[in-house]
Amino acid sequence: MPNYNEFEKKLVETDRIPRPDAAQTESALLQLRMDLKQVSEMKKRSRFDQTTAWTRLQSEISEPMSVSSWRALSYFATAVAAIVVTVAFFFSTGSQNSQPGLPTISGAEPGIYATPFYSEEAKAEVIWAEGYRYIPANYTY
Amino acid sequence: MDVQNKVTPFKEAEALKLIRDGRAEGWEMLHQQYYHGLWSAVHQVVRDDALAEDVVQEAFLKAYKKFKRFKGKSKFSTWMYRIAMNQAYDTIRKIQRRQKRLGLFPLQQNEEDTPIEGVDERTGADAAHHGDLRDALNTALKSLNPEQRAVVELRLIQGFSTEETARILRCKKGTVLSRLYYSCQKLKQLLGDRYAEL
Repeated sequence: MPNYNEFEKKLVETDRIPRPDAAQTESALLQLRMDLKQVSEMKKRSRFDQTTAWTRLQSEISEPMSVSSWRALSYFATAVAAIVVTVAFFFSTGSQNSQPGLPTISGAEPGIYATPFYSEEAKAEVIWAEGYRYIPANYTY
Repeated sequence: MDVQNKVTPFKEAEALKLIRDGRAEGWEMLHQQYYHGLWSAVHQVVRDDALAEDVVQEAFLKAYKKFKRFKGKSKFSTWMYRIAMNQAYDTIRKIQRRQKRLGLFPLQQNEEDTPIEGVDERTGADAAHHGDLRDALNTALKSLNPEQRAVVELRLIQGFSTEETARILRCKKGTVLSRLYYSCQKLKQLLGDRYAEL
């Protein structure tokens, strides 16, 4: 099993030597670090442009609302609209199905009124009107 | 330590203050400071230039959105690198899943013991012998797996401490040392005499 404490000690020793100018060094680990850094620097120099990357990032973070925010807002608005339409629909159908109040009965004489009730026997809504004058069966127009 | 030396604590504090004041200049300062390092670290995992750029971009966007969660308990660099490395691993996992679904070969195989296609151990040693250090090292690095390359990049190249590297990669210090030790052994094996004493 490797001695990791010893290895860490070597690593820390090479941390302490910031950037040795000498290409030749007795420490193989330090040599490796120097070579890796050199390769990494070359790769960075040859490859990319931080300014372009920043411009790209800036355009995203400076937008007042990102695309995802707009999308979220549109989902929310659609949901609210759907709820409003549904509620309105229930209200409208509910008012049609609800039991009607007292029917308006207009008569020449005051004191005419009606009582609505549900007849189990007839299985129908009955409006019982009272206050009209008695009309005999033999009455003819 | 390279990363820490690039930004003095005062400047970093200044950048963070600007951000807290809602000014984008703070982000610009941090982007300028860490972009190259983040790109290199992410590139060790994803091994693709354009993909690495996208991952770093995403990482900065995440940091921007989650900045309120950064309480300053760790260094900003540690926090930022952690986001970027998580993003890098997530990205290769997604690509691997997609490739698996489509029945393609995975992007990143476990390359610890099997050199990648077209590269053999002799190639690396020969290149080093002929002085083409860059090719030799790049070839040798390709033979490491993404986790090993990540510790090599963060600990050996960018100069994070072992503890910081462990925090960034969310693993134990011992894991970092073990990965690094075996990576060095592998590089020594591939690069021949130059690092014989490793």
